[in-house]
Amino acid sequence: MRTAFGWLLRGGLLGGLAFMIFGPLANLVLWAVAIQWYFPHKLPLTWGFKYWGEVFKPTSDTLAALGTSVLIASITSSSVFSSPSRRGSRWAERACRAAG
Amino acid sequence: MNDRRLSALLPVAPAVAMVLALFVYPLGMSLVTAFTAPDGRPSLENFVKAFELYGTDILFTVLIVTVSTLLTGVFAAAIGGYLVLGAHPGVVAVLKSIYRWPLFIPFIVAAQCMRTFLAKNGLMNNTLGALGLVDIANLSGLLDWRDIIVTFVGKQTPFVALLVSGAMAALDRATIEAAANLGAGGLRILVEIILPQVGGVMLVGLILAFVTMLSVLSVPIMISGGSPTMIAVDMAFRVNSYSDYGVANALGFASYAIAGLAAWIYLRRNVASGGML
Repeated sequence: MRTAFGWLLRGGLLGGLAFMIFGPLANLVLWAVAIQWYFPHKLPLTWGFKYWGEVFKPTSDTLAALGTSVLIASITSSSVFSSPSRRGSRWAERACRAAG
Repeated sequence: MNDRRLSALLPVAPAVAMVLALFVYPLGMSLVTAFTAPDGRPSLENFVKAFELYGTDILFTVLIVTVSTLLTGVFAAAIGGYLVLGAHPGVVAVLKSIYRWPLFIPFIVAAQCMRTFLAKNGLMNNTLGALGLVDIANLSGLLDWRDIIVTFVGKQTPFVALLVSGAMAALDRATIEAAANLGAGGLRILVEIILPQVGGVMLVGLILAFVTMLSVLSVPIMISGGSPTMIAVDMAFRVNSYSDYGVANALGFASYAIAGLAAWIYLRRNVASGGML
């Protein structure tokens, strides 16, 4: 009885965590392919990629914004690896060793 | 001797210059602007206006961030504790594979997901309704400060849990096994043996989470842009709608004062641990 309760508790907690992590993501995926969805319907009424077309149409600025976001993120994260502070500290170590 | 010292200091000069130009100078300028009236004389006018208009929001920000930090600590300790003490390898493996997912979701996407997930007719209420657990007609949505807290806790828990579980895994297992042999339960081992030993790492993780939550604009703006809201939203509004950098910088000053308190605790901890954390 106690073992069964233990497994129920573990399953419930793990299931709850998974629901809180993947539920919102599943919701985002559903909204991304929903064209029409309103209360009280539990699932979208019409499905399709209409809004994807809006995002990626030639007159939309979204693609350029996406490019800028990726560029900024890449430059920022790569600068961490080649920052003067890192190189500086390596040179400083070498200089200290050379200075004895 | 002086030459040697100079040659050792010279290589760090670019780093110092970068910090001065990209961090200290803008910070100083924003402080000066915060203490300058529109006609150019030094005054506290911006602060008076900021506290009159946004005093509630400052308090609201402190409350939301503090509650979110505490909840993040509780969940991170629970996840880390189960990863170390869990007796069922299958459950530990599943937990390990799912808890880190939110780390890879940007704040803006997390806010957008949560906004639709926690709405009155969102997927959460619909699923609970379909399972027969709740009656949707009597439920309300959570699209206010509660949703901001849920999003912050959901996004920051994996980060703190990752740090804390690493520290927990590095502990000497002899003390844990000794406590277990003496009949201590999992919760007692976690609270009395493990958490006191990883307290420093937990504190550092929570401080970093606190400062990050304080500065996130996308979550409060997406979920609850109305009144009351968080300081970051008010700052963006003052700059974008009125080009009022004075009040925006006064609000920024309030933000650094709150973050500064967290940084002071962090630095004290850092000194105590010999710069290891």
